[in-house]
Amino acid sequence: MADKKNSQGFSTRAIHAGQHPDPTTGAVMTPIYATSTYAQESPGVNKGYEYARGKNPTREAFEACIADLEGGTHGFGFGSGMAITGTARFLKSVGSNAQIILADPVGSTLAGIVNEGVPGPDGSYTVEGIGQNFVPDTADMSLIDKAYSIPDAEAIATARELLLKEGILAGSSSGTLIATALRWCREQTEPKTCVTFVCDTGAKYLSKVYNDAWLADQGLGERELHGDLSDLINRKYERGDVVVAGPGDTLDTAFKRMKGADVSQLPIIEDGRLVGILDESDLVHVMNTDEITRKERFAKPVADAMTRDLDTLQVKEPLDALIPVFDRDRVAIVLDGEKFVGLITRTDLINHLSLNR
Amino acid sequence: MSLTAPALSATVKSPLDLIGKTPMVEVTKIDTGKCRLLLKLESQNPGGSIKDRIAVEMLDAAEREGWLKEGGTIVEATAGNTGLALTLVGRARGYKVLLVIPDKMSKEKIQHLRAMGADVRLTRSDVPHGHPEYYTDMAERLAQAIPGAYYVNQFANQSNAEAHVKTTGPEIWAQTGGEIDAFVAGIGSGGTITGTARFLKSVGSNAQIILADPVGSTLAGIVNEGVPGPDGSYTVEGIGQNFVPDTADMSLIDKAYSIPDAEAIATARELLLKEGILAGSSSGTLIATALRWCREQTEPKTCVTFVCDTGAKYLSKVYNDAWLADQGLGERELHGDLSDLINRKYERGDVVVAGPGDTLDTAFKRMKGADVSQLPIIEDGRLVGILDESDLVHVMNTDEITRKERFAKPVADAMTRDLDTLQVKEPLDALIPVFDRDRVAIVLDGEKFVGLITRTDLINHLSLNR
Repeated sequence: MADKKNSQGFSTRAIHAGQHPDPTTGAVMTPIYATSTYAQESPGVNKGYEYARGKNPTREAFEACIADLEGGTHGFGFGSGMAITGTARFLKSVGSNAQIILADPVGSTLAGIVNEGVPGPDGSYTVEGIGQNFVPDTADMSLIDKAYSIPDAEAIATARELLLKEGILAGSSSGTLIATALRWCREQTEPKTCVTFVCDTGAKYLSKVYNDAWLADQGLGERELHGDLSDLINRKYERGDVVVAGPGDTLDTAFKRMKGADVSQLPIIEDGRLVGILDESDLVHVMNTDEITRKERFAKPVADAMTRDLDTLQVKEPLDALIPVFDRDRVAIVLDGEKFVGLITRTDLINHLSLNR
Repeated sequence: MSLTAPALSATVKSPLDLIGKTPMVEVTKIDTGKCRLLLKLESQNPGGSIKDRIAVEMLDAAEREGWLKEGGTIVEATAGNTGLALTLVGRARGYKVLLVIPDKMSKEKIQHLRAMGADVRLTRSDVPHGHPEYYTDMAERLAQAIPGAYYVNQFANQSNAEAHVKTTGPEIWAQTGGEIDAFVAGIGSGGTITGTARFLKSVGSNAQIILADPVGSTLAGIVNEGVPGPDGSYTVEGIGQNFVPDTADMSLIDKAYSIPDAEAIATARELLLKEGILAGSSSGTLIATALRWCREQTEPKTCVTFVCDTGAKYLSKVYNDAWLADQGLGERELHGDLSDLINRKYERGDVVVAGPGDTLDTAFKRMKGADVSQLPIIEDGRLVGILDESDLVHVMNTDEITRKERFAKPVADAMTRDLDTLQVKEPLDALIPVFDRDRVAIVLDGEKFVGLITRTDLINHLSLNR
């Protein structure tokens, strides 16, 4: 921070700092210039402005205001597309011949603009924070030499490989960037150096990119379909994906687990075998019929409240077998012989049908 | 300040080279009394926490002593940051990593460890210490059974504290120029506070060593009264114990503070709001302790504590108002009517809804995204129906046309219009008949839609206010 400070109050500076009356109209506040291009008296001769993405009176006022509020000498305002544009401009300004490569998700229209001069097909994708169906003002597409279109599955597989092999936890857009960089690197016939980003941390994406069950829900997991109930069980008991309780656990423990995992029922397992199901109705029932205090009710064992009369299906049965179970407002408990495989809820069925339509 | 080009470190070959040498930042917007409070950002370690440091030191020692050889297996009982750190360092050095985890731990943590290449074994969380299936007993047994396996045991591993004698302590000493009057840390294994305090005393520092302990942990009682405090449950993760770990030297600690969950979480949120630092829940306990100490001082002093891990892992918990309300940690008064049960209110934009003209595909994606089983259908601000999973199953099962066409149908074709509504001023008992009909309760204030109440909401409410 600079020592010299504007002596006016914060609120006054927030409104007025960096702004001067508009020379053409006398407006006290700097107007919002939505202009993209400024007229030139002759080639290269202008009033200091060429394109909005380079310099713009509104942004200058904003930057001057921020600088004043922070007691600084300069402020900078950035927007989308500035990472590639700003970095590429700097590299070119110091004489670098680095190729500038755009990493673009399949479904974004930008790669088409770079490679064919026309926007590519517009679609949806899972990767967050990159890709557009328009060119932002701040992006100078003329700086970009080449673009790669990366499908979600490749971006996510790359982010997972980065964590598994290099120990670096990256977000989904980093998967797109690094997949692009790897494609470029592997195409080269001579040793070269390529730089890209881990744009953000993957800690925000643990329940998505790094969660096999979520990937399966999105149709991005790798699995074959068997045409039976196993296709619908993304969370398998033997893999530890199913949250369970024991008959000796208290209702308090069981309920906390249900809440923690965001499920409405818990399989109750004793010595590796399924002995019952505890669902929300069982809990409401216990709480509503008893006269003793709630604390005591929650301290009761699961065995006192669980349903032992189970509606089980065999894993090899077809999807149709689910409908009568759901019509009875129950969850389907799927066994392979005697072994507990997992649960199927209405959501799982609908999700499966919507992905494989 | 504006962006300036910072001093850059050279390119490194491995993220392991980025462990330690974490930055320190001063708290300037939160009231610290007369004191200066400095936070060491351990969240900047490549594994996201301070535990990266001990993983390096514990594995270095095991290699040096010959306990861990090429092709060996690292075994530990943990679900927390130590598991992440051991997996990060162990896998980079070519070892197999086997972690034994109690089955109550969150799926995200298990998925994360598996995605890093750890072999995760789940074990029962309903058995006491000494039972063969208790997680530490099981880890020890597995380590004995697997040739070339090394059981790390951070709770009794001397290298745990040693990592902080070698790195954390000297870094704090250098970054403060020796001006440190208080050092605040928690105890999970005790390695951090023991190692750092040992270093500080070895260089002649008179800094007070302060323990930050969650209410429900018994450790603060041992420091302040010489006897364990009351044992209880708490929400903060990774610190507090009901026993003194072998790695903790309690005699180094001068004073302890017991911090309730609500204060720890409010502090973590204030840190994000005012200072822009995203910290995990245990950091909330540490910083709340540091703030209490700072505000008690009558002369200007310097206090140092940690941001132990990043808050990015806790976005759906510590930083989620609805989750806090579910835990009874939000700030609100009870009215004794149905409004007490509605944590997600429509007028606040907390309820996920759809319109009658939306397709079933859109509606289903929204249900899935929000993890709910039903959507209120709103037209011109008024509730006109409810769409639930049964409605979707019904449409998909009775139609002859293709699935794609079924999903393209409007919500209006499938939703339930016959609504079971309750008024917000009704008592809790009014919910039971609705739930007995296997329905969700739709709560109105006059004509205005307030929100939904499910069975979970009722059970949760009763369990929190018992």
